[in-house]
Amino acid sequence: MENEIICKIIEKFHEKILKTHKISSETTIFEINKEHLSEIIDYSYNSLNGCFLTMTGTDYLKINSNFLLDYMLGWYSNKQIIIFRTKIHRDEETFTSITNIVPCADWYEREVKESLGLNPLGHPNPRKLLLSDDWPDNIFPLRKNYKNEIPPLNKEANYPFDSPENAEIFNIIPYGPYHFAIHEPIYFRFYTEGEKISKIDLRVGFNYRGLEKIAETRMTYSTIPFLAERICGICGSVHAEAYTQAVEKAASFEAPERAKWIRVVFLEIERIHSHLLWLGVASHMVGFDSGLMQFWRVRDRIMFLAEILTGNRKLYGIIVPGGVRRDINNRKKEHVLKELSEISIEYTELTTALLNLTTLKTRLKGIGFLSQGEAKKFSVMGPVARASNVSIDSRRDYTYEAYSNLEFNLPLRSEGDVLARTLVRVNEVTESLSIIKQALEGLPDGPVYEPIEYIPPDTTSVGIVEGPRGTDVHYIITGENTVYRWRVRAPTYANLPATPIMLKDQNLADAPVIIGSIDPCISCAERFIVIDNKNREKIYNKKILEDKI
Amino acid sequence: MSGILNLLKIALEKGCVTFNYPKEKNLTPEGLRGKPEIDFNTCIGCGACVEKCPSNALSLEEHEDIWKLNLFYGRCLMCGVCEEECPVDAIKLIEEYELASKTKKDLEVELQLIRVKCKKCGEYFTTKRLIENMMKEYLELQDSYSDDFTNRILNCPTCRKKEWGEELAEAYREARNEN
Ligand code: SF4
Ligand code: SF4
Repeated sequence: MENEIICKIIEKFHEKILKTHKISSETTIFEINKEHLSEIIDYSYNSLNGCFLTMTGTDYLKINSNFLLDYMLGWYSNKQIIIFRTKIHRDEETFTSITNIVPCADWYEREVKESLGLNPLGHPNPRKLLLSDDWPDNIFPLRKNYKNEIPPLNKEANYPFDSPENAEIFNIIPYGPYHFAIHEPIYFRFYTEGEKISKIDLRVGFNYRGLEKIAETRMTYSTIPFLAERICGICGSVHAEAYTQAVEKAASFEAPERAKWIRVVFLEIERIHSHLLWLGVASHMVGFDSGLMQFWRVRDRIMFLAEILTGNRKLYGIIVPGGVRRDINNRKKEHVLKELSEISIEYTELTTALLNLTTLKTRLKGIGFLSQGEAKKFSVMGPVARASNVSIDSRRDYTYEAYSNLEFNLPLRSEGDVLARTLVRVNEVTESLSIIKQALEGLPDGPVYEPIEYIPPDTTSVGIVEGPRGTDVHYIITGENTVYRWRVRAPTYANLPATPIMLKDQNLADAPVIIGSIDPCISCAERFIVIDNKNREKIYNKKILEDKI
Repeated sequence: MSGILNLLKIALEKGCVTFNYPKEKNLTPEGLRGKPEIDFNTCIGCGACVEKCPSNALSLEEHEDIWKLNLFYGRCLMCGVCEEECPVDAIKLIEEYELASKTKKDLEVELQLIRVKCKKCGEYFTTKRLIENMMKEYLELQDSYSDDFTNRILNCPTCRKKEWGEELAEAYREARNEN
């Protein structure tokens, strides 16, 4: 039987859909004309309650003289993903923006604009997103004819920040790119009235490294997992897994059964250490360092487990297309199971003690509120969504690897505040501990790796993985010996645009933990802003500062 | 208040858990992926590791009569792909992980491999050790060298291709004449 969502869309727009093809059990591509794009997406997203997963632009000029734009929406409860594909002729270079109807398309369209030179007409906010301010306007790095020979321009350029109408009544507080409470470079600009944050503007892109381009031009299928893993220092395997899934799906390849179970072990180990890291950092952000020490003490035991199993505390380098690179022998398995039961006890003891602390609770309760409606509107992911009572989890809904054989609950909260996000993570750790236990105990026999014979070119494929921060989506179009296009949508990319909503009307002192509550995973710039007491801002660059000193 | 006391109890019970590094050094578990080390006596210079190294830490430099296999630890990810790929187990990840150094030179290893000349055209092609290895492996499969093998082992790929081409053309001509 066809999926309900697909039926509804086809019924309504049957004459506007040019072609449909199914690329995997849960993913279907709808080819449509660009004139109908906004109408169809409006219906699918707003009326059918879709979730925005990613959007990709591809330079397909050599193959069919077109650019491809792929909008990917997901319906978790229906276990369905639809890619709306539209072609843009090489001479047109424009498309109609959908940001006004689907607010979370904002960043994606800006990215397409600067990386491919396709202009989203009617975009409310067409500023730069990822590239540096002085990047030339007519050079597009993700086009295939791009030559990497432009020297840095080093020219002064100003980023046009959003400023409210009556700007003079506000104080402007710069927050980042270097900030002691946020460990990665991101820049927030707060317009405050006294202690209250009234308006927020956000600038990202300080850490853009062009990994996708490196992969497309210099690497091969078998080496990309190592690069993918380095996208994030914390949830590396999640990226390797999502990439691997996409490649394996493109090749219609099934990994050996034992490998699938071992992958689950690593993905869950990663979730535990990531959540424990976050719990520690969050305690630190509210000035509660005993929490930091204790959570990290427990976390380190998990790190040792990872080291024993893979040979590394982080960046396991285990998941590759075809299987996994290291087996888990019985001795290691017993050791890990023993450790896990001890860690479980210790963890429960610790969380009970800490979460009963009124000081900690009061500090987290009622701040950074995100309603269920807003959470859906911005398609936030992972624990942030689940703390606002949006029940999505790709482990359960787009089940992959061995998850369908394992039992686990999905911690949900309805409060939508920072405390809810904390509690969701606290409970997820317990679930993950149980998943690892089940996976190790049920580990089937057999090989852990089988080479993939053939990966057909020009195949679109998607890998979806539930990382610690939410759904990680890797989209690939295969090419000869390597990916033709690789698009990574890390969960923070979906969660960050929702932070201005959480921060609105909050106290400045709560800002670090509110921003921290989405567990942002961002990175460096050399410029910062100093505000003088007359509310006039001045931008000091490195040279001026050096002269002053 | 009881919350704080519980926490205090946990903190006192667990005490200090950090190691006294660098005095205590038994931190590495078995199977740690530390620095890769090349066994200079075994490497045959086949380049399999270079081909698969994800970060280009390994590279093969061609010179007139030698090939240089370079390993730069500054780029190495300690992933162990080279160890898996090496056909003669010449590269191993050892448990050493303290690689910090003040000079870049300390992080570079270079192995020079002697190349052999093609019997036909006289150009240098592959390494001497690779040929020796091929001869050894051949004997593991067959009792003795065939004439064909001894005649061709020292021909470079270009010459070999040429020869095959000529033979093929010859065979074709013969077949046509017979008809
Ligand atoms: S360990 Fe990995 S990165 Fe290092 S040299 Fe070997 S293949 Fe290259
Ligand atoms: S794969 Fe082994 S034998 Fe071949 S070049 Fe590398 S280290 Fe030497």
